[in-house]
Amino acid sequence: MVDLSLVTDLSRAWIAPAFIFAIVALGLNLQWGHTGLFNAGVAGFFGIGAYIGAIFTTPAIGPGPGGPGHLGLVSLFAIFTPYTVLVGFLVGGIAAMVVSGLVGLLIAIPTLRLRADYLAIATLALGAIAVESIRNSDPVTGGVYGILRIPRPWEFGQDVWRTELAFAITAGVIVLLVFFLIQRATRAPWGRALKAIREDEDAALALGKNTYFLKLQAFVIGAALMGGAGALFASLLRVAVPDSFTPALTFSIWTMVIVGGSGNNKGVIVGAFALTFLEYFTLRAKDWFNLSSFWDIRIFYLRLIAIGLLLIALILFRPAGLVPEPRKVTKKPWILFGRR
Amino acid sequence: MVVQFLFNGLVQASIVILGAIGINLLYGVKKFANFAHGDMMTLGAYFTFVFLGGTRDLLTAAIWAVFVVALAGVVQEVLIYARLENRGPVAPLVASIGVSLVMQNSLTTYFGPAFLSYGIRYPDNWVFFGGAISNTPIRDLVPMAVAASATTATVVLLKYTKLGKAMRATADNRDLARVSGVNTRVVYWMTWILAGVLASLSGSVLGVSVGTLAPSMGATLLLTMFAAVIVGGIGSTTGAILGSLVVGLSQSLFFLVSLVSGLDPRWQIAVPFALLVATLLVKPTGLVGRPIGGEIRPLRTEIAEMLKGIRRGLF
Repeated sequence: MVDLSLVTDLSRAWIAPAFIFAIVALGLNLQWGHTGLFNAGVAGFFGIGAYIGAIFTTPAIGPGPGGPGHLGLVSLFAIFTPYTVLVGFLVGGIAAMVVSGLVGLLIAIPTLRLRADYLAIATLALGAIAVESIRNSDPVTGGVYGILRIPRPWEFGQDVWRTELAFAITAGVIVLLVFFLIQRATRAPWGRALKAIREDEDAALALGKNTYFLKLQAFVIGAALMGGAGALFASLLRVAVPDSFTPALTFSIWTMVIVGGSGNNKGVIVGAFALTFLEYFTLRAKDWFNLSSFWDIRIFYLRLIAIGLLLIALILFRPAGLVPEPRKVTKKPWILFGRR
Repeated sequence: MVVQFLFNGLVQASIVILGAIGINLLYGVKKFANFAHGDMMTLGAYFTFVFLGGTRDLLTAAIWAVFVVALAGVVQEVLIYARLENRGPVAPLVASIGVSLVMQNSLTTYFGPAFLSYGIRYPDNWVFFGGAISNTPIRDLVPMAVAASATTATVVLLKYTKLGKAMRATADNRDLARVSGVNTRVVYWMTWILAGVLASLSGSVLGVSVGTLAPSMGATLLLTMFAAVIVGGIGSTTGAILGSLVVGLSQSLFFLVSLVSGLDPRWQIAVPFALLVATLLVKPTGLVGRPIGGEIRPLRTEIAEMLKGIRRGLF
């Protein structure tokens, strides 16, 4: 007999978040790893997606003593009766991707034509502003109180479907789908054009590629993936509060991508699992090692110090990541000399 | 009333100026955007707190803190950024994110996440111009005085000393400066020292002005400082000063507008961001624009390019 409580705990606090962060990391990898676009506002796109998803799956709450209330659109889908939440979840996920993508488009249009660090500064600002806007839009997002009691997609089903494991598997299936699509896209001529931009934009331009538009596509698709993952994340946590989407989240996702080897889609998923395990470890370390309350509070910050040191060390010594992007060298070099 | 708001804007701007000049110096000489600059300010504020315990004198404590933060800057340069010299603008940027995480969370681990305070008793308000401006001398006038004198000193240093000349030469063309006999390594160290000094002063002044210290105090100002740098024109000290004034004053004017129009004053935080995006849209080189590496095509061309791409099919 398997210890079910351990499975539940692992899937809730490690596997499911790891899958969700893997989607975000795949999106960032498309932007940074494949195209070389620096996005420092990951948490903003993720947060926008989380709130859009939450609004589509929860009923509206008016202002009251428990908080300012928030918008809720789930009643729109009441005609699908037992599947109301699932339909809301699907629509919300798509809406989250669309809105995040649009926000990404709006910030990318003025900044993509400038040097890489302009995009970094603008997206850093965007991430901060997105979270502040969510915090300030009381009647829509619940302000600092956030949105509570966000349902899971499978709540109409039997007990088995309501388990944490079922949700983790759902997230896993989505990751597989996203991974497959991204792997296909980045191996296709489209993805090779993106890599050409990353290596030398002027050369790609000279070869007749519309580099601005290609960069825009990569950025918007990446942002949309982050938004979609946000919708899943809200459903996983069952709450959406503005404080979940701090710059620290952005930077740990950066570490996932860099640990995994930017440009390497498989490595990035491994990185997501590794970094999320670190987080799981710090969450459970209190119970495992009988930490005093002093260290119990501080282990969270120690984790962020570790991430920072890891980031510096990787940039200094292993810039290609622990699992570097495989080099694409043709096995038939003679095709370069005209023989087919 | 309006005068009072403008005055408050100047106080806000004077804190931003000190950080923005540092970011700009580092951007000019080291060619990267330092995401850890806000945390260097926090470091200065916290070390002022530490030394305040020993000296019981804010000025002495702030000066001791200046040494620590300048040293921290040089240590970063030697350990990290000197090794990333020829790796483009993004590698040092990512490293500075790591530095930021380490600094901010080390401070939180040591001092705890709660607020600290210098424990200054603020004297009663002084009133100027028949009540047009009322302020607390320590909270409002000290930041302005510190910012004004430090900014003047920096401008003089950059403009009239041999070191300043060497720094400007390195910023313009590192290799040319090197063959002309400028010791660029020393220039890098001095740039870090100067940026560290300004960041530390800015942090101490921020702590005095806000009244409380938090581990995230500098990081929350980072966005405002970057907005000031970009609005003014990246890589130019005059630009940083002008940009900080524009950002600080428009933030306090927004308060005034929100009072009159009933707009939620909490949206004030969006003002720097709006200015930043507007600058990038209209004049990416900023107010005092120097060319920023590579040709910048007008937005019209880029959007036409995008529409052309969409017409031809998305992928």
